Amino acid sequence: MIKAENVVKLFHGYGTTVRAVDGVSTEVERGEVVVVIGPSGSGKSTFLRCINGLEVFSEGHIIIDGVDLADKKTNINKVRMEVGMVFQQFNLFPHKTVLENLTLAQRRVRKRSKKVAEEKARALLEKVGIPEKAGEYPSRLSGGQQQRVAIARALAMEPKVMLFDEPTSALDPEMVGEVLDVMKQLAGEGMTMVVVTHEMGFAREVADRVLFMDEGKIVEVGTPEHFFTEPREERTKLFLKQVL
Amino acid sequence: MNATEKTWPWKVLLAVILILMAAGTWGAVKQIDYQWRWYRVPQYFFYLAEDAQKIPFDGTVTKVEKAGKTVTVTLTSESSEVVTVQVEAEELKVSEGEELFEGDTVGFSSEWRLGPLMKGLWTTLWLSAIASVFALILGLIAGLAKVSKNYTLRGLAMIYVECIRGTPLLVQIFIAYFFLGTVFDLSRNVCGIGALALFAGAYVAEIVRAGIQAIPPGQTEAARSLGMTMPQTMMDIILPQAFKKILPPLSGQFISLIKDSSLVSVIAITDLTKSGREIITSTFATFEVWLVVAAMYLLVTSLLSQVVFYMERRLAVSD
Ligand SMILES: Nc1ncnc2c1ncn2[C@@H]1O[C@H](COP(=O)(O)OP(=O)(O)OP(=O)(O)O)[C@@H](O)[C@H]1O
Ligand SMILES: [Mg+2]
Repeated sequence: MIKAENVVKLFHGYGTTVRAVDGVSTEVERGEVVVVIGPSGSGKSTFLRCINGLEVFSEGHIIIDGVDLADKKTNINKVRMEVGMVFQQFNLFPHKTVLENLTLAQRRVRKRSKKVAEEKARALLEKVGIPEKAGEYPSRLSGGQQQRVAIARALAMEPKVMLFDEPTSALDPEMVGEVLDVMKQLAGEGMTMVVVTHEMGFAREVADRVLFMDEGKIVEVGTPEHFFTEPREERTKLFLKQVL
Repeated sequence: MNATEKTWPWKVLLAVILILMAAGTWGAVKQIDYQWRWYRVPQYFFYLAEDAQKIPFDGTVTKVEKAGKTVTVTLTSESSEVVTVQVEAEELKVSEGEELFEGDTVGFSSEWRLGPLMKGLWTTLWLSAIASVFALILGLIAGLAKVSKNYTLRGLAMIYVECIRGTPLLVQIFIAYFFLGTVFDLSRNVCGIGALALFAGAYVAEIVRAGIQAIPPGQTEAARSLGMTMPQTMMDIILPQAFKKILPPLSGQFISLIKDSSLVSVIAITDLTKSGREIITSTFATFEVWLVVAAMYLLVTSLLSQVVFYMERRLAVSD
């Protein structure tokens, strides 16, 4: 489904170059849930953003469903239709109602009629548990509700892959659960997911595989059991000791 | 609340200061022995024009019908052509059956007309309106160019904005009229509107740029991650949000444009300011006319501010 080959992303600052992603290679199978963990600044977000082209990587290849993002002829908008993304800060469109947030891209990108798009949107709001908020503006919703709307907005495009970048980090603790529940449900339905998170409970329960990143590199890969029982690398042990 | 109880002394103080300033001005004017002629001003807003109604051919008055203060006179030529004219009853110069030659006066009709101040105001308004529309288009294009990734577009927009903001509008109007106007054979109105639009456009561009950059990058990222193209993202996500943010500075810019338009009077466009100057040459009511002209600008700009204030409140629904 997703194949990353030796991906490098450089950021050029004043006289310095940061290797935010430094030679990452991995594969994500269809229906697999991969959780990415690692300390702050280790390049998790940057790697995730490379997968849907929000960052243009400097070297390597990312192949999604047979399409190589490094290929100049690739239409990035086509790829993004198939790769949904959920952000830490929700990034809902504040000037549009919840329903409009869900229908806009369906209509502009998928070229669906208003009726079809709204049916789809209402069904998804039902699924994430807030059908009654369709007419509200995002600013009137709680953080947890906003993030669920953001997930529904991404799902409305019927993506093949969903990327989550710390979806619960900006939430008050009491709202984390409702968002994780939606994500668990999604995983249960067989969605291919790449999730950057500090929620170790979620990783343990849902992940098929965990990647530990540090300084732009994948340091260790394994099942959740492996990570929580017998981590191999010193850096992994140190990190897990801090977060657990 | 405590503050509400204590506002009245300040209101009194404000009133006292204003009264003192008015009295001081009045006293100073007294010193120079200026003859106020306010009664001359109203006619420059509206005046009653008397037009002589003349017979267009040799013929006879076949009918005179009186209805209230006006009289309808029917005239018939030797070749049986019929025309009717309406004149004031008091000004009727003919009677039924009378024979007239072409060009004889049948009577006078009167009509209220717009005086030069109103005509000048109208010119100022439409000039500013057209210039505003072009300024908005230009500013939007230049503003988008300023945030674009393309070096050439950015460079062009930057040069445009810097050149305009670094030179006085008066000089720009002279260049537009005496240089560009002569080379490309443009009318003075085109030059005036063009100079105003180019001038305001540069400021609008900066406002638009700032507005776009004030929208969090997460908005663009969210839209792009849904597969929307950059133009779609701009139209549906960024510009509507930016517009709400830039409405106050933008309207301030258009209000400035109305005031700045007074400068086109130097290339002999008869706007409100030029009308004022022309009236003064025939009345010498210098003080009155400039005060009235200032009041008219003030009226227009404050009305516009009110409209914008109302719009802002309407747009605030989703906050
Ligand atoms: N736009 C950018 N310009 C320059 N440097 C950047 C940029 N974005 C990220 N970086 C740098 O790249 C490195 C990786 O950042 P990244 O945001 O991917 O880390 P992260 O693992 O997501 O961290 P966190 O857990 O804090 O979100 C950091 O050193 C960061 O400073
Ligand atoms: Mg991050």
